[in-house]
Amino acid sequence: MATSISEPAGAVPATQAAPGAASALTTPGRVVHRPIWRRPVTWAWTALFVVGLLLPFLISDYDLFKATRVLTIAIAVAGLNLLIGRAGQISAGHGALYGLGAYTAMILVKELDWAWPLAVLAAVAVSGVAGWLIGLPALRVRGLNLGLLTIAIAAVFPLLLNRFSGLTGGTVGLQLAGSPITPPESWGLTPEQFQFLLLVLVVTVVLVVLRNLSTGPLGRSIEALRVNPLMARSEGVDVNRLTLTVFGISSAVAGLGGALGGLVLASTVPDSYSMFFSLTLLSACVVGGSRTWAGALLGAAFIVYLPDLISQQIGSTTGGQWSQLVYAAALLLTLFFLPSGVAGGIGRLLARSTRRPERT
Amino acid sequence: MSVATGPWSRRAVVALAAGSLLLTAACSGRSDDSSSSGSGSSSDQPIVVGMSFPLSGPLAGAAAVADGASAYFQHVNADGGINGRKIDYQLLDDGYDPARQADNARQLISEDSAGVVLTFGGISSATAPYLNAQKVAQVAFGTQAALSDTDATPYTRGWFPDGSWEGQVVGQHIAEAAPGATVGVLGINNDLTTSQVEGLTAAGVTPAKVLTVAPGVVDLTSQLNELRGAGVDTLFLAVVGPAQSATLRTMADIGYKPQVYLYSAASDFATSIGPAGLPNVTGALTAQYFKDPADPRWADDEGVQAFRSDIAEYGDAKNADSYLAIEGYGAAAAIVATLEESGGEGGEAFTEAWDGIDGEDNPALLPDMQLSAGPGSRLVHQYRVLQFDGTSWQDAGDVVDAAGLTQG
Repeated sequence: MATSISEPAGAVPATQAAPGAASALTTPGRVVHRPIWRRPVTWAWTALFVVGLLLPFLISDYDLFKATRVLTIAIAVAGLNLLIGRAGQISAGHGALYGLGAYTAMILVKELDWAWPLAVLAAVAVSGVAGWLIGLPALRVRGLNLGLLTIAIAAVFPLLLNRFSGLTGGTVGLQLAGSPITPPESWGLTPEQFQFLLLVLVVTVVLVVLRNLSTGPLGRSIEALRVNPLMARSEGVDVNRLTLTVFGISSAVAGLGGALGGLVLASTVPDSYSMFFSLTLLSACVVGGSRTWAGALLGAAFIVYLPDLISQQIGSTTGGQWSQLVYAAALLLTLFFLPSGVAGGIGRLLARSTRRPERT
Repeated sequence: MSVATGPWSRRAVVALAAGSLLLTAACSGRSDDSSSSGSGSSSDQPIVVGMSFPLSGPLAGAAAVADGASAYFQHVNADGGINGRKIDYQLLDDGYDPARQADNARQLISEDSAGVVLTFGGISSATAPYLNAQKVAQVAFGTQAALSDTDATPYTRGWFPDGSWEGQVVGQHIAEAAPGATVGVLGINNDLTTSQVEGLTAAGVTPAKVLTVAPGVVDLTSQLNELRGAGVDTLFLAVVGPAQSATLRTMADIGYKPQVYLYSAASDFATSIGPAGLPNVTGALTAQYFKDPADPRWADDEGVQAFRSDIAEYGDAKNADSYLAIEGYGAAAAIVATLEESGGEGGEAFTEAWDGIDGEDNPALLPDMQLSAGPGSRLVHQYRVLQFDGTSWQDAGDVVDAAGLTQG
């Protein structure tokens, strides 16, 4: 398979990059199939992981709660990254899948008394199937039309929640007295610490799995799908099946984020999963950088922290919509100056400032 | 670019790791004393009142409610506070996002040690379990029946009346004034209309036609024609925002003149009947509990004058005609009265004092009405049917207390 479809022209000369999965991936004729757990993880990600493990013992429970929310959203954004950044499909309806995961988990825990890990797994399965179904129209429509179609799903979801109020609690939604995700007593952790650590582990697993999916043989098929579906078909890729698979995986991941988000919050309300939320996820994906996995984390942090930060600075009862305007401007400027997202932008900036000769 | 692609991406991850460590320094550190819940009780400490309102987003109009409340708190502070203790109100923006409201509640309790938290809208029920678990009093600005359930959420109190009451009051009025009327309902497609129709039915008035539209749909000509075609001669009109005034104008344009009952929160001069054109509203009825500060009838009213001068001094002068702002102003007055009784305490002392309120005057309430803990521990539970005479809303019935109504 040609190298040109694995990396966009003008990107990093990946073939020269030192160790890493990418070199194995893109070096022609030297494709190495490693088991998932043996593929390398860079020291930088390891450092980030260690920071994540230390964080709960450094910052307050309130800050942890907020950071946990960032991580649940980052999971959903990572799912979007697979779909948009890798496979070139578009979904403006991932907020609905996030909500579907949240509601599934919540109903199972609240009404059927399931243990939360089982409920989360069930939510992943339900969201995955829903995503697979959403993928069906994606076989026929692409690009802007697919975007519109998925927007419709995002718009209908809260209405459906209100319609089936017997199951979903209607506009008031479903609430638990407290989050079911609590540590065993002997661990001596607060629920917030435990939830954050859990999310760090889940995010790590999700990112590693998605990374491996998108670098292996499947990854090259996905790249081909993005670059040119016709060409991919001529190369022997079952384009329809692959599209559905990618939609299913991406949605399952979004549902995982939603299930954990809903259970940590101990509350699901239709207003949480409005069309606006779907579009926010989409902007997190683009702002973070849809083709980098670090972008999922950065994008999620962007959409959670920035509105709060701006509101704190200029939000007031008399400020009207200024905080929204500033947020919109920040979003626009980010896209204008960092077209490949914050993650891509930071990387480029650091590369320029350190001016270290490229390793060969 | 994959996880391990090239030095650029790797550096981004390094930056992320370093950045999050730096952020750690910016965050508040862990302190092991977890005695922060509830308000500080020492006698000279300020009383912390937390507020989470949509100051941005689709419901940013509710910022006027927060503005009215803030103006009252500042007025109290200028007069020396509550028993010498200032009110330290902390207002946060939640953009009507339940997750952000939950965030704010945690911040207000763990960082600011608020003993009372005010939340806006139906999403308040999403924050209620946390606040109740923390034993912090919550005052929710919402009409939902769930916010009246003091068994499930003993620390949550609703400020507005329950949404289903108004339908019953209107239904009773129709049954007396025009028995045998063909009643229609035109409302928005959420639980508000559902509860209003339930209220009408409970009062023995079954609407012949119920039409609902999405919020934000302004041209309702076809719905009006459908109602007219069905012979509806008594219409309960409860679309909100610009749709309410546009619909009243359209009715005048097409010459459709049923007896109109306006939804209480969409009958004010500033946003509803003013833009509709006052002659087009003449003769309309509404079941009301608050004064509209823009109504000339209240120009010399003590409560409205106090509101106008406070909002001009401490708030946004543009809100001087705002029905929403006086709602918030009245709520703040009720909260201050409660805090005076509770000795500045939040939590259980606050809810007990709230439930103990009996016969308290309030600047926002219509004359002959007082605050007292009614059904569901809501302080506002009295209505009076008003009729618009072309210049102002005049009394068209006696005070009706929700205690005498069917409770959902």
